[in-house]
Amino acid sequence: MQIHSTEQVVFYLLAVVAVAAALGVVFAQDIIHSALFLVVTLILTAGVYVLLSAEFLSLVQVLVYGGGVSILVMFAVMITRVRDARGPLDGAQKPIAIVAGLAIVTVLVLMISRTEWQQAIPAVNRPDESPVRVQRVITQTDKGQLMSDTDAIGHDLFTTFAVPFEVASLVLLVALVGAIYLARGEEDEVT
Amino acid sequence: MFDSINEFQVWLIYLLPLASCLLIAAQYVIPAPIRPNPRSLSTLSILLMAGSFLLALQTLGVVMNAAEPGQMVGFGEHRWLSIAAGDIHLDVPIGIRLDGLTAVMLVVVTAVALLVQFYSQGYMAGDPGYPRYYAFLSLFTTSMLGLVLADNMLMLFMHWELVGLCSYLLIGFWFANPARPGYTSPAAAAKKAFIVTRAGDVGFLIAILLIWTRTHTFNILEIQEIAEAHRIPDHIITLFALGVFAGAAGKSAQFPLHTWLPDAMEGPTPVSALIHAATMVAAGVYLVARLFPVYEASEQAMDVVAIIGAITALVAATMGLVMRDLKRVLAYSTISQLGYMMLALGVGGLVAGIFHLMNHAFFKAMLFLGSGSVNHGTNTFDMHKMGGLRRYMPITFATFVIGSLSLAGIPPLSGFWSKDEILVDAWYENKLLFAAALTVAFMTAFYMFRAVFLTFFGEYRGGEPGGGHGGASAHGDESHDAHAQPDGGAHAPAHHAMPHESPLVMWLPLAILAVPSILSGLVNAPFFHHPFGDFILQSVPETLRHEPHPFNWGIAISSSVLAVLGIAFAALLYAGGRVRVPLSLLARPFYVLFSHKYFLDELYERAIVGGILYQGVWRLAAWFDATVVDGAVNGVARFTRGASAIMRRAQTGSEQSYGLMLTGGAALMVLFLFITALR
Amino acid sequence: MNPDYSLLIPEYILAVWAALVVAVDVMMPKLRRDVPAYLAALGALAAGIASVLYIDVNKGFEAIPGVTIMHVDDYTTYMRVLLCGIAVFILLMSAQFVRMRLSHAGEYSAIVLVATLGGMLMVEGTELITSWIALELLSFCFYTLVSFARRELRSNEAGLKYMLLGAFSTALFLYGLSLIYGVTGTTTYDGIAAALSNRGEDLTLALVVGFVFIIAGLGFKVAAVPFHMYTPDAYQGAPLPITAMLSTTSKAAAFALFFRLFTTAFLPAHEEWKWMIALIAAVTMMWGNLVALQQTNLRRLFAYSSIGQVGFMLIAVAAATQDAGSSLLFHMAGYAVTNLAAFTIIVVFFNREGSDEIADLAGLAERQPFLALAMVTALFSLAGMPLFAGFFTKFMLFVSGWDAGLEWLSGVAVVASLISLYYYLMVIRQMYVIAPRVPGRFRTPALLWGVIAVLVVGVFFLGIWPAPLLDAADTAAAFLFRA
Repeated sequence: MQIHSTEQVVFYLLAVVAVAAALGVVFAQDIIHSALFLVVTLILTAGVYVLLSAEFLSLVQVLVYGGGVSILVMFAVMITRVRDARGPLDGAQKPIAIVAGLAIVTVLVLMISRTEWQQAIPAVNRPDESPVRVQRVITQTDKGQLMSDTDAIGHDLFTTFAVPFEVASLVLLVALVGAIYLARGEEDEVT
Repeated sequence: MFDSINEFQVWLIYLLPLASCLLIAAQYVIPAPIRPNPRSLSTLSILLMAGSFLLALQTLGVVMNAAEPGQMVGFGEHRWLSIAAGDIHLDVPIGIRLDGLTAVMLVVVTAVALLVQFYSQGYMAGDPGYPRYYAFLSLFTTSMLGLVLADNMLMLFMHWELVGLCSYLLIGFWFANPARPGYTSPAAAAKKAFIVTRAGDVGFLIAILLIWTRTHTFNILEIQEIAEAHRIPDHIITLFALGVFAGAAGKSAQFPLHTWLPDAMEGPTPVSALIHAATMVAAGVYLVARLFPVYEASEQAMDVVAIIGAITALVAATMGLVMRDLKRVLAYSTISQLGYMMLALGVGGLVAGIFHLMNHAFFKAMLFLGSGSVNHGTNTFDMHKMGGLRRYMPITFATFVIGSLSLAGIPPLSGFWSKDEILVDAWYENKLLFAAALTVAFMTAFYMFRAVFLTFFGEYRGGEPGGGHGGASAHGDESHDAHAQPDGGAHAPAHHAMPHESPLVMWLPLAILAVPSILSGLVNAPFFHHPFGDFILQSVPETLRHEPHPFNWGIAISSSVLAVLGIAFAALLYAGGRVRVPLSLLARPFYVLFSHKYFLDELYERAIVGGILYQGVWRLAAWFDATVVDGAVNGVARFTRGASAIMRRAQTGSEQSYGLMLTGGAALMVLFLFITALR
Repeated sequence: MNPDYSLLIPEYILAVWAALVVAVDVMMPKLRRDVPAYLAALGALAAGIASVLYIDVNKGFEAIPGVTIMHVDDYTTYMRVLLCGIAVFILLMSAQFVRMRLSHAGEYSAIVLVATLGGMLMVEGTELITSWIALELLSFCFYTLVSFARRELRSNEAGLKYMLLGAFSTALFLYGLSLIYGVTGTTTYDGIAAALSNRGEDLTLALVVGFVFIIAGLGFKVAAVPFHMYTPDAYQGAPLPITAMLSTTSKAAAFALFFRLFTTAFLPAHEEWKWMIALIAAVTMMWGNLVALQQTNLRRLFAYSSIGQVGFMLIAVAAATQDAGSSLLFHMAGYAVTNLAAFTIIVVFFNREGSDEIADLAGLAERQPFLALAMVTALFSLAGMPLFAGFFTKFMLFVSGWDAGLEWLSGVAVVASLISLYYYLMVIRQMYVIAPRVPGRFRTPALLWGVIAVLVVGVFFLGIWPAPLLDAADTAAAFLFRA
């Protein structure tokens, strides 16, 4: 393995810690530890996004997963008091699950390394012959102007994907209604 | 009148029973208090059936009057659905195929149905399900007629399934009745019949799918032409023919799918007469005859048909020898005779098979109706409890004997002629099959007359304490209102009085059926130059119209002698009205010495029947039936249930295991594809 | 140029109507609790009528020029009408049930409408992200609806199981989509098809893995083995009308998406995924029908029966020909009518008896002959007897499978449908042969009587005169293969 650039060093650092943390999520015997490992994995993934020049995505990852989701998980653990009901977190399926997991990992690694990926987005500033490519993703608008990924996402979201975007709001609405209905107290239950 | 017939009139044959079914069903919408009298409903049904019968007769007349009697009268097809999708063009037509074969079947079906409906007025009188019974019966007749009229496989298959459904409904007509001791309950019998025949239908459906994808037509005539010209590979023809035969074997109770028919006897007896003797079970034979050119195109398929037919005829006949239940004797006899017909078709005897089908329909329907009449008088089907009925039920007796003689093949009754033709055809095709057929002829004569002597001769052995109609019916009137369920329903404690002749509505159909049972054989008698044969042969292409084999005096005489021997044997053993000879006789050698008759009797009953036949052959047959055949059937069922039980365990209810299954499934698929892709 | 927003009028109707139903429910607290369901049924009817107006319209929804994210054609119209029709019947059978057993009738009915909306979008979608978000909309509605009987532990459990596994399968699905995007560089169906055709014979591993993950995700939605595990629990735990909806709306929409995606976008790679789906189909139909033999609970029986039916429907996806498409659409309609009839009967029985055990059906023929007879009709149709809808729809499926070179699969299907007959007969036996445990007849409410009667007539109509619907299905399917 040859090291070519700073990005590469950073990438491998992030990757190793992220994978280790992911293993921690699965193998930790305390649910709080699991949750904390999860936070670590998620935030490090955001770092990988930065390396891929997907700044917006990285930011969203930190805000939503690193912030919102982690806190939600913590709340859930605290409120439901899972910690009080102590018991092994993994069951009899562990060996089979490990085999299935390893099988999928093998397959994915094989697949990723053997596939010729489509270059959907024109990439500039690509350092030659670098195994880990740092790209500046720049999309062109209709009028031929260049814009950054944040602009591009915004643009796409309100043109191409306007309808799916609206549908997403419906999804959130349903989830909200469902969550409120299911979580609300029993005071209205008198018929 | 017999010059021409328009298509609508032919359709009317089909539609009249349907109308009757719908009208009877419609009355259930009316509130109970103002519903029409059940009697009026059955009258309506019978009238419509009679109309259908007359039209069938007219149709037959027209077909006979054609330039070449029996030639197909074409009406063309009507498009029912039509799908054009890509390069596939699926036309599902409905249409009538009217030729000699159809016309004969139409008359047989409508005639027997009419008489059975008439008869049922007496037999089913007072049954709470009386209107429902007539609705089912009409629906069955419609379906059977549709099956016969169909000019394409799909329409045929739909009606095929419908007759199965009606058979299910009618066998299980008294679904609430418990099982008689030693027998299955009507509900279980109905289910068995349905499932076993459906097992055969799997083959039939696959055959239809196969032929459609190869020829893109459902039309029977076109399929015949294609098969005949060998425009599709031979193994496809064979596969198709065997698949169809699987369906036919299920419906016609051919070995090893015959096990449902004896149990089907739990249904009302007129139903047994119509469905399980004359029409539905013959549908399998009809189907093979209808597709005869296809079978002719495949030698292997013909052999399979002949061999299965012969095995069925033999196995069922041995079982018929030892049954105590009169209806079961008739059931096994039916299976055996159906095997006979299949054997005939398998050796190329299209005419012989259909000829026997027709004759058998008449006399077997009569025999079944006769057994129903006996049941009406004695309230039982157990022959050990009958005896001496000839004095009490003279008409039933006379007709039953005529039927038995005909079935046994005594000249000049109808059964003789068709049986003789089958024997002749078998003789020229394969001597082994001929020997089997001849053996069956002997056994048939024996078991039928065993039944006759046990039932009608000797002293009356008391019958069964009856369903409460003993007192009322001693006056011979028709009102058996309390007589709710003739075939062993709830038994009132009152002991049955002397048996009595059945009412007019019941013996009249017997008397009418006696006429064709005696005479219908003459239509194809050799000295009339086989008019029936020519008529039927018009329905197959010219190349397949073989000259009939010449009448063979040797075969005719030997089969007649064997039949007479069988009757004589039965007379010797059972004419005295003995059911079985007491064991003590063996211990008294002097007595035995002095009464040779009894010695023979004992020899037969104990040694031959009891020792060899009963213990040996029948036990073997019964064992084979119970272990291998039922075992295979049950084994499939058990395997299915076992597999099902194991698979069910996968459903643990634990979320983790579900997730694992999901992931594992995906992983397995990916791996599988990897292996195939990286190959 | 703006896209043609008028193509989505039925969706607007459903969305606005859903909001309206909630608003009415909130504004008028005194309202009887079955009224929102009837109101919502009207909305579904309106959307259905609006959908009918799109017959013969064949137009893409071009978000930006050249990017068609949705397509309104006869395929869409057929499915839209079917989904709206299902919604009407679901809401009608829900009304009394909701009144008796659930709270928040307004939200319940609104979510049923939104689920239908999601289903419609799934059918229309011709772009991966649009289809996926529509699928999510449908799924979220179902997560909520399945656990709607929140006082019942079983419902909560079912909802949770469904949601967790659903999220998991969505992840797989999404990963699959990303792989397809990674290989082809586009998310529109047309673009993917073009990219796949240009690849030639060359098989990319990422593509295959993508197919597997997409099949796994969709297989979960339609409940194909081995992704079916949630089905019996969800069917048993969900409020009864939602069980009916799971077996109809969810399946119909997912299959519509499945078929459109695989026959338009992925058709050039047919050889790669044909065997995968055929294999799953065979396993699914055998598994579903075999395990059904062991069931004692009516809903679990129907869960496994529906799994078996999924196996039959997958034949069409594997075949991926035009007549497979028409027979799939045809089967879906026949299956929906039959299943709705069966479930309406179960709802009536459940409303009255509070039980869904097969054993408790004993003697139904004496207690309520109409229900028993209607149930027999539905069961025979499911078993594929002639004269009933099921025969023709199944027959067409088997023929199309056979024609596409999947003879063995059609053979397995015939055997599987024979097995299915057995457990349907067990239910019939229970109703007709066994003496009732509770004596006394009861009446079917007039409205539900009418609903059942209409559905039973529908079953017979499709069994005897299938031509009109089959023609419609064929026209609809032709649109997918017009290229």
